Amino acid sequence: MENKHTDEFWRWKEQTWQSGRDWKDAASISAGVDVGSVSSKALVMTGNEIFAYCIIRTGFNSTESAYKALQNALNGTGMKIEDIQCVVGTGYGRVNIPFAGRVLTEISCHAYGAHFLNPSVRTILDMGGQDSKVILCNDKGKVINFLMNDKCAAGTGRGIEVIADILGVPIEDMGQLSLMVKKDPKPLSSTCVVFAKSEVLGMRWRGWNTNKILAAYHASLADRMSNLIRRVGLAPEFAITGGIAKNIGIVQRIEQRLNIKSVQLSMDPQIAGALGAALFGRDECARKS
Amino acid sequence: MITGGIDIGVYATKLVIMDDRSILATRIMRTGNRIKTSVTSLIRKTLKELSIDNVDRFVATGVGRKRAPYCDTVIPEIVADAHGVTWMLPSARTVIDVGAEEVRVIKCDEKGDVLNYIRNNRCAAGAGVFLESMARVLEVPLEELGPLALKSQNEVHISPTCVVFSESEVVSMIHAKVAREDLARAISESIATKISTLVNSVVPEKDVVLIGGVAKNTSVIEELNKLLGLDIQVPAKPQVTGAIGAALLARQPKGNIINNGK
Repeated sequence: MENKHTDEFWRWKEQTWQSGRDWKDAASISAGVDVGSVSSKALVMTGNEIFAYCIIRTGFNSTESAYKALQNALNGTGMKIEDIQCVVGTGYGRVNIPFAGRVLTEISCHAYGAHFLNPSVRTILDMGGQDSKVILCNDKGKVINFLMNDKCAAGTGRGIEVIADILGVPIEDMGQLSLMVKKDPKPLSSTCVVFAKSEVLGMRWRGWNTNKILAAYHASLADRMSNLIRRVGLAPEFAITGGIAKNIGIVQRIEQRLNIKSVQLSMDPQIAGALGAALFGRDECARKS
Repeated sequence: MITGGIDIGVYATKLVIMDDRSILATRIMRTGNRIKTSVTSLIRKTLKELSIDNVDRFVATGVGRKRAPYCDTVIPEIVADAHGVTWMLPSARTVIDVGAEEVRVIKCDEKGDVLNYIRNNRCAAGAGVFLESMARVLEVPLEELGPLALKSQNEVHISPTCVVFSESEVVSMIHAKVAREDLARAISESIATKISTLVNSVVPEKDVVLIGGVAKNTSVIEELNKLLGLDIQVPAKPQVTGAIGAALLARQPKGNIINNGK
C-alpha cells in the first residue's frame, strides 16, 4: 500500500508486457518463474516466442508472489495457468513454487536466457536484488564457470535501495543522475552499505551536490563489479542482466573499466532468469511430445 | 598527578579523570558534530563537579582523537585498550573491543604492550551498528536488546552475513510471528559468530576480556562464550576502558609514550 506521507524512493515500477499474439495454435506453452528476494518475474513462451511477462516486488510470501507474477502476465490474454504445459521455477524462492514441475538454479537460467536474446554472449554479469554473479557460458548457453557474491549487500539492489532512500532520489533516476558530472570523484571508500550510508551523509553535510555523491557511489559499485568479473575472466560478448542492468550509471562505468561494451538485450534484462527457465520448460515440452 | 583520558568514538565519547591511584570520574556522551566544543564543555563541567582546578595532562584516543581539546598526544585505540584492560585485570592477555563500526582483537603482555592485533572495519555485521539496526527493526531501545534476548525460550537462527540482508530476514520472521525475544537472541548469536571468527584468527589466550559498547549486551557475551568455549571477562564499565588506558599513558613524561610491541 502506498504511503502517501513519505515518498518511497526505493520503490521501482512493477510492469507487465504482453505480445498480444494468438496462443491457441502454439507448438508448446511453457513458463518460467524466477522468485528473487527482491523481485519476482514470470515469463510465458509460446513455442520459441515470448508471449508475456510480469515483474513485481516479492512480498513476504514467495508462493503468493510467484502466483501473482504469473497471473498478472496472463491477465486479459485468455490463457490460464492450467493451459501452461511446463512451468520451471528458479531463483532464491524456487522451492516455494508449488505449480512448478521442475526447479533449476538461476545461474543456469540466466545463462540460457541471456544467450537466447543474443547468441554471441559468453560472459554474463547478473546484478540482482541480494546477490551478484558472473557466469561464463558456451555457444549453447550452458554454464562453464561462475562466481557469486551473496554475503554482502554492496552492489546489490537492496544496497542501492538503501542509498536511494537516504538521498531521496527515485531509484529509477539514480543511474542517469550519476552521469551528470564532468568527472567522476573518488569512489566511496566503503563497499559496505551501512558504512557507505554514513559516507554519503557526510558528503551531503559537506555540501556535495547529489549528482556528485551518486557518481562517487556508482563508481565504487562499478569497481566492485569489475573486480568480480576479472576474477572469473571476460570473454566477449558481454551481457548484463538483472534489475540493476537498467542502471546506466553502473553499466557505463563497468564498460569503461573493462574496456568492453555490453550487448543490448532485446528484452528487459531483469527477465533473463525467468526467460531461461521458460526455455528449459520449452525443452521439456519438446522431450515429452 | 591528575591525568585525563579522552576516547572519541564513532558513537560515544568517553572521558576519564584519574589520580595516581584510582579513577576519579568517568563520563560518557554521544559523539555529536561539534566535537571540540562538546568535549571542552564536558571536561570543564566534570572538573567543576570534582572541584579540580588543573589536570596535568590529557591524552586522546579513538577515531576522533585529533579533534580532542587540551591534548598534546594522541594514541591508537589498540594501545589505549591494552593498557586500560591490563590495569583493570592484570591477567588479561586478549582484548576484544567491539565498537560501533569496528571490531579489534588485541593480544597483549602483562605490561599492557601490544603483541599482535587484528581488526575489521570493512563489514558492519560484526559491530555495534548491526545491533542498532536490529533494535530498530524489533522496535526496542538498544539497551533493551540484551535483556529481551535472555528471555528467549526457542532457538531460531538468522544468517550471519550482512546487516542489510539480516534486516529483511528479521522483518520476514516477525511477519511469520516468530517471538521477539527469540529474534533478539538470534541477533546476539549472529554478531557473536562474526566476532568469534576474528577472535579465533589470533588464537586467543586467557584471560580474554570484552570491552566496547557492545559488551553491555549480556546476551552477546553469553553467545560468545558458547561459540568460543571461553569464560570471557567483562569490566563493569566496558565502554570506558580505552579512555582509562589513555589517562594511564598520560602519566608518562611527554614524548615518552612508546609501545614496544607494534
